[in-house]
Amino acid sequence: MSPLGSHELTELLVAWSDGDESALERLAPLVHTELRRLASHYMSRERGGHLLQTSALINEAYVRLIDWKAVRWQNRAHFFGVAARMMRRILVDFARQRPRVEHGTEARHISLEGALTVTDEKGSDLLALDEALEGLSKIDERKSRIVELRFFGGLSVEETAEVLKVAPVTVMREWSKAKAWLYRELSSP
Amino acid sequence: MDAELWKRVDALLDAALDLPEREREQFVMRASDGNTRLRDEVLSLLRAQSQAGHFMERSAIRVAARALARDANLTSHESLTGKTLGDYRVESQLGSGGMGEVYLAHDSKLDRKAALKILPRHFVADAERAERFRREARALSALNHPNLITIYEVGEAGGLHFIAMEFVAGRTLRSMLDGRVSLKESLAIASQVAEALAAAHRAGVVHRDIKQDNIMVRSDGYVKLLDFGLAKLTEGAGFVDAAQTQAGAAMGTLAYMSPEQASGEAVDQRTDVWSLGVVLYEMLMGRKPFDGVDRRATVNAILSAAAAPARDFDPALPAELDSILDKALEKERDLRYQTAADFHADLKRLRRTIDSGASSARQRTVAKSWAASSTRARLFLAAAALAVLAAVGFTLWRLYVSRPAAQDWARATRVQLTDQPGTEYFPSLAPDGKSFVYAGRAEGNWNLFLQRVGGRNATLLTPDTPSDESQPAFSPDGSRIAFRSDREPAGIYVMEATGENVRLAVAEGFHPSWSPDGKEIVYSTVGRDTPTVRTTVPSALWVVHLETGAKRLLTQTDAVQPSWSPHGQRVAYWFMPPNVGRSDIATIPSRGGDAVVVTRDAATNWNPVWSPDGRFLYFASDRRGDMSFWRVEIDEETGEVHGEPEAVGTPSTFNRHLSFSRDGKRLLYVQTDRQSNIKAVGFNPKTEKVTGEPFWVTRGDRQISRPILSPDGRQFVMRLQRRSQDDLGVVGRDGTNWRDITNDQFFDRYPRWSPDGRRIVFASDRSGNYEIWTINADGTDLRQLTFDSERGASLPLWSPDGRQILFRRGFLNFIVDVDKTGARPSAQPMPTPEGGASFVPWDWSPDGEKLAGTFSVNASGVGYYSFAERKFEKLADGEAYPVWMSDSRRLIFSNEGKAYVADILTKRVRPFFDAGQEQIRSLGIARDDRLLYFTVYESESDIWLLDLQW
Repeated sequence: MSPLGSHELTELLVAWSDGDESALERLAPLVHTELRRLASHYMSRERGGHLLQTSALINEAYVRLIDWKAVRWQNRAHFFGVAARMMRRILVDFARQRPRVEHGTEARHISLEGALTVTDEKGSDLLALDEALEGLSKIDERKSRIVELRFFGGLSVEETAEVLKVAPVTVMREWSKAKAWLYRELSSP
Repeated sequence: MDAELWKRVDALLDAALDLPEREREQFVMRASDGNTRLRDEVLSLLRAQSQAGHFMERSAIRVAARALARDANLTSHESLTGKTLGDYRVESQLGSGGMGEVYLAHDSKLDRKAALKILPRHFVADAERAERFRREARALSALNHPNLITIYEVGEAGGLHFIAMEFVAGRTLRSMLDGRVSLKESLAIASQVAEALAAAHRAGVVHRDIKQDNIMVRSDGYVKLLDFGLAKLTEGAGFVDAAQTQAGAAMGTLAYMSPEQASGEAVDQRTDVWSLGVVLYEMLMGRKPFDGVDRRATVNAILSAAAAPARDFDPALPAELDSILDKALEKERDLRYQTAADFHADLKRLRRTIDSGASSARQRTVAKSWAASSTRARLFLAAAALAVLAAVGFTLWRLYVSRPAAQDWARATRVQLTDQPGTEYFPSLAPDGKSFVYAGRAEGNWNLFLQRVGGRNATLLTPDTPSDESQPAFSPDGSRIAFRSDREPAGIYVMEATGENVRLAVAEGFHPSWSPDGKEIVYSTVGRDTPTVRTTVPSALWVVHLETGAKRLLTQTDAVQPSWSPHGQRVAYWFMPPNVGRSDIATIPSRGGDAVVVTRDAATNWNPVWSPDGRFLYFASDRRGDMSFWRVEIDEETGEVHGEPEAVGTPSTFNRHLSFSRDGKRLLYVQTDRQSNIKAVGFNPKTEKVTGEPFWVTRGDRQISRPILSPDGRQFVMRLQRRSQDDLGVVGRDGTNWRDITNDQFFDRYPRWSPDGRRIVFASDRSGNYEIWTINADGTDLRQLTFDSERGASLPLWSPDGRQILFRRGFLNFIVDVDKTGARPSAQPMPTPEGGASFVPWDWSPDGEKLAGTFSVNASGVGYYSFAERKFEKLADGEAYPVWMSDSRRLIFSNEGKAYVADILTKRVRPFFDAGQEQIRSLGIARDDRLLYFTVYESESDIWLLDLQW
């Protein structure tokens, strides 16, 4: 699926987590490919509702980018964290560069407007969300990490708990509170 | 916020979240110990937490992918040019924007030009929202005002939803506003818009998004208002949360937002007045009255800044203009023009003054003459995203009934009063007709709400009650409300109309109805909300005296939902005669005595309510198909009925729970809309588990019944229940390409595919009785297969070899050869199970050797019949219809929301899927066992008002 071998991919991630920013540039095309593939699935469905048998493909899409089984991770938790951060960076950058359908000053808000047509997609203005998350990290680092892992990393509650070495129930509570905080941030005019 | 405060907020939030939802607020008030900052933070987070719902539940990459797909969708219809959508041939693209692309098209049926707006898919993906929009479009299309753009049709073709409307050659006001517009022209445009708004408002429709882009000016100066109600499409389905929707408004639209919109309050017609004020101001001044460098500044300006007076810009403008603008741009909406009609009148007056030269107004030159501007048609549609408004406007339209004899109500205006998702029941109109109380669901149980007629905000009258409260009834003087409560002790309670001073009236009973003097209440001992539910114990009627608490029995034969006559003589009620599955209406003297029957016929008659003058008894009845309202003339003294019932006429398929105002000029009722759609989910036949998430195959207001996937797996055939007919239809497996196979006044039911997928067998009453018919899948070559089935033939099944058809007549099953041409084929009866039971065959096994079905009559459960062994075998309890998997060995069926798989060899029965809240109906499986499908039934009940005074 990927032009890169999983070893190389892994090395890139490690390199990036070690501070090599150029590694991200080489990772981004992979994520973009995956993104476009998902988008074309969304486009291909004729009407609302769900997508035929693709939910499995979509879930935690980035995990697909990495051949987990082929890689033996000493520190699986650490890797999850790195991968989630990578997704955040790449997706937010992508959102920033996304070509606009509309013109002029409204562009910045279009994605949010469109997103709001479906109530569960308020988070769809990734730029705004990213900013808000930055704010959250200043007062509550743990909550912002949870959001990063869950939302950007696509990790389940259990996986997040494993990464952070806390109980799943704690993750759930913190996630719920973090969502409330972000929701409020994004809702205020 | 500093970290220290946040820690305290976080801890308090935690503690609050551990409590039940309704106790949280009070707890926070107490625990914050006077620290208002702390308290406000926690409360606002709690609010956000309860609203957040599915926020961020979809991972970021999916969100990004959807956004990408949406961008692509918005620009991907370029190819529509030259194609045909329904009756429309698309000629060229006129424009595009956030609300979809607009094309110039030719209506081939009526040979006229039309503008087609293609709605972006994500706007119509939600069926409920799309349906609301359709309803509103229909209401508007009935208006036919010269300044409102005419909507021809809201349609769907090739998976695209579109609005076909009048094509207007002109420009949007936006495109004219390169410079300022002259005073005269500004007033001319604004007053036409005001006139259009006044007409729409009279019909109860609020535009919500008045701005330059939505106003078209024809080259002859005629103004057309566009995009009515489109703003509603962007509302979150069933989400009435202003803050949330408001966040979606884009800058372009923001400047036209009223203060109530900007602060997330409910919206009414006065919002349109404000926005038109902004438009007028902008035309005259060349700038917006409230504008900021960013969102926040703009909102602040709208909420608190005063608009610079027009005469500051141009002292030559008439003083009257400033006072008009002041009145339109009044932040306090109670002080604003209350109606667009008032606004219009003032504009008109000013125009007259100017025309007569009495005003000091000096004519401006048009910066850019629109009359001389390009005539090239261009519908410029909302480049900006639409302002999304909270609360739902109400819809209303003239009501037409088929029988003018049904008098006054045919002329009544019809207004929707509640618009919550789900159900509102038992409205009771206050005697003055100005407010009403109803039962609605809140926090998982039924509560009573009070709402002003025409108002949007309901007041919860029964807070903090974990019990169910329902069936409220205003006392005749309007000061008190009686209701049923399940609290301990359960029974009838009375409270003040404000919700205060709740006290027990009697510790039993349902459906309270007041005596005219307000001293007594009649109630039934059994509660029945629908006419089909029979209880084992007959319901009695009792009267309780509120002051003394003394009770007296009125009748013990079955009687529910009593209604006390307006002058006190009689009580009307409905009852279920023994051994009959329908219901009838009777009255009984309120002092006791013999009952007099009002209806006694084959229809279901129920929910009787006296007209306030006592001359008529109104009731719900399905005597003409739909459950709608009827009335019959009656003598209040004797109960004697005069003449035949006549239709009151309410255009929906299910209506109930009537309530009158004292003057009899307003009538409330509950209207229920129902729909049933196909859902599907992947299935792995090896593991016997579902794969992936269930998804909608169809979404819309159709009532789909028993869909069956074709042998090639490409399309479903189904019965479509329509107003007064049942038709056969097909739809592609992906929910597109709808097609009717039959569409006539007959009832066509139980369609099944032939094994080669070319023909369909079904039962139809087109010959008088129900007989078995076959037809080609394209609707041609209709043939009758059975004759003279006095008891009706139904439930046909095609044998896997295609040569025989099995059907049911009475409690017996027959098999008939399909191939016999010419002579009428004769049917052979099949064996029956022992013990007088009956077997309802539902699916023929792929190997042709067995039938899966349900046992009935003296037996129940799911099982099968083996032709070889001539043996019936029961596998499980339950009443659902089983279908075979491809191995002819396993069966799947559903029971009470769960899906099961049963193995006929090992006899193992195992649940494998739970649809949760949704009931699984008509479960089916694809030939390759890889896809399960079923129907999901939804209904929504809202309260409507018929008003003779409007």
